[in-house]
Amino acid sequence: MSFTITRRAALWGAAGAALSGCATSSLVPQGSYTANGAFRVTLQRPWSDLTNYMMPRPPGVRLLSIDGPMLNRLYLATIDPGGSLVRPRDRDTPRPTYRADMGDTEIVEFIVDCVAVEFQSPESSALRPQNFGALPGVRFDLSSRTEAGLDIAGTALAARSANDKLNAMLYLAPREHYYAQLLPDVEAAFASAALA
Amino acid sequence: MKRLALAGACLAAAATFAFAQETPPAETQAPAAVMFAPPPPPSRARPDSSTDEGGLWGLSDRAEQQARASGQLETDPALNAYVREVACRVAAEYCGDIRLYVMNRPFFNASMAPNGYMEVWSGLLLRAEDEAQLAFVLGHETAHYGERHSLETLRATRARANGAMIASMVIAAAGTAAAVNSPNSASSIADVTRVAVDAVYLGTIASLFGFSRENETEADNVGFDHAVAANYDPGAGHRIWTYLIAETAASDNPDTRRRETRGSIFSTHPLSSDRVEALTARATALGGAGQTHRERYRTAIRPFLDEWLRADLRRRDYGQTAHLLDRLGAHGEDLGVIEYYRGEIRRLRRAEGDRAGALQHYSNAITHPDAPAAAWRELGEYAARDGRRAEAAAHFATYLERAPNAEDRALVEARLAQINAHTGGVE
Repeated sequence: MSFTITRRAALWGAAGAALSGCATSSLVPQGSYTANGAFRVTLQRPWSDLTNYMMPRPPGVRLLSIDGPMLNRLYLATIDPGGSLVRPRDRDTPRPTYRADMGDTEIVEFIVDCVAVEFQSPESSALRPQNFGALPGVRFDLSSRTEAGLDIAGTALAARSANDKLNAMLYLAPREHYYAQLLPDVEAAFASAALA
Repeated sequence: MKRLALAGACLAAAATFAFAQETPPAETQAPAAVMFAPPPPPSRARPDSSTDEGGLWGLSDRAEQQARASGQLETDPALNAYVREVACRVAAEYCGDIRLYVMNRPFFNASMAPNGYMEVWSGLLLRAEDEAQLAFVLGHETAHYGERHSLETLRATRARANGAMIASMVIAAAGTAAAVNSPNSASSIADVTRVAVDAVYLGTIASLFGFSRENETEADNVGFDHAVAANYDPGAGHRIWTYLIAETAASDNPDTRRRETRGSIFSTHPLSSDRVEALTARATALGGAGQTHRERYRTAIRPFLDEWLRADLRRRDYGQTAHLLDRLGAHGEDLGVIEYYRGEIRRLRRAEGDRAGALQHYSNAITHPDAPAAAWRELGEYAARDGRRAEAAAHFATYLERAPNAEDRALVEARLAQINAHTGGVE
């Protein structure tokens, strides 16, 4: 099963590569995974690392998927102050920017605004305190739509570390079938987070 | 040309692929239908599909299909009915041809395709000052339809080069994708496909609505005549074009200032000072007769101000949004919302003096009855950071009172508990 799934992601990646250049994907095995050298999570199954397909790629952001990014994606990010989850193609285009002095609601707003770069009118819900490993963090859910009208659901956990970097995990998938399918794995990853 | 052909092939391939990826199970993709009162019958019969005009209708049909399924479609029945009513007033004999879709896109744009499908973007509705200005723009668009400018453009293009239609589609698609996506350029793998989908959809629109200056002048004149005949203020046309030029000049983005509003009506509707002057002269010659219906218009868009301003703010062109807020606040209405968003600009921008400015605007906002509850939360945040705990607690408590179902209630309650623990207050 997992072979079929990762093969689908690889096919997606190959198609993306054909269109966008020479990006490559890699297999992330089940078990402990250290993201950006900043935090560790335990993955319940193998994922495909599609980080290289993000163009341009924002620093400190890893993108994992099982079935391809249109069907599920998990961002694992460690963002410096002044950085972002997204990176515009030109320097003049403004982007949502993480600031070290952001409060919890502003961190949520920052992540939602990053999602808004690609998806339609994202809205956060159920904001609540939740630890990111040992760090006090913020957890929230998210709903949005694709340009083509497909409902997207999401959930995220974020916390500022002692060095002011923002650690964040963001899961997005179509609400129909795909979101719920991987949610237990994502919850387990969130629960397993520990600073590296 | 080879490179263009390659780009076209890539776009087509990517679009097909993306569509396959994004298509959910059939039962989940029900188009959001907008119900209207039965319109009069269309004035035009569908042209034979073997003709060039039939081909244009086919392209329009495809773009309309995508608009109907789009996540950006605004389905509010009252707003749709109102905008359609205004469109009908200035469409004259083409009222029955219009199938109107309000799209939640934070850019100033409207269009009417050769098959009668019309899009009106929320960025236009937010920027029109009154019904007369909206009527002028919609009259302008129906004039393009009435005068068959898309067909004229197609035939002129074809006359210039055999087979140029394909090339123009590719150029338009690539150009429009770049233009429209630049302000929102994303950086995920999904963009590879999303850009392509937008490129085909918006490229189709661009190819249908890329008019000459002569076409634009003609549409201005016909739109003006129809708006005046419907008893709208003759000065509306030059006022809205003048406003848009000023808002463009107020942009933070040098690229936007250089190229005029990308992804906006100007990318397909070249605007010159000659056109503004011509409209001004015609309005002056007619005198000040005609209605603006400003209050009626504001009433129709008021429920959407908060949502549309939030979307506008996400463009992060604070200069343009500030200019827009000045216009929206010019008549002293909705000041709670407007002051709140002035505060939001400063909170997000974090430039020198913005902290004090944000505090001032939020403080102004809460003196108005329509202030969003979030204004109290922001004031609470600033007070908490400044160590004014009692004030922070009071603002947070007011926020929770005014927004009992706030999605961040648990977070704010936790913050309040933290403050109360410090002050020895009761939770």
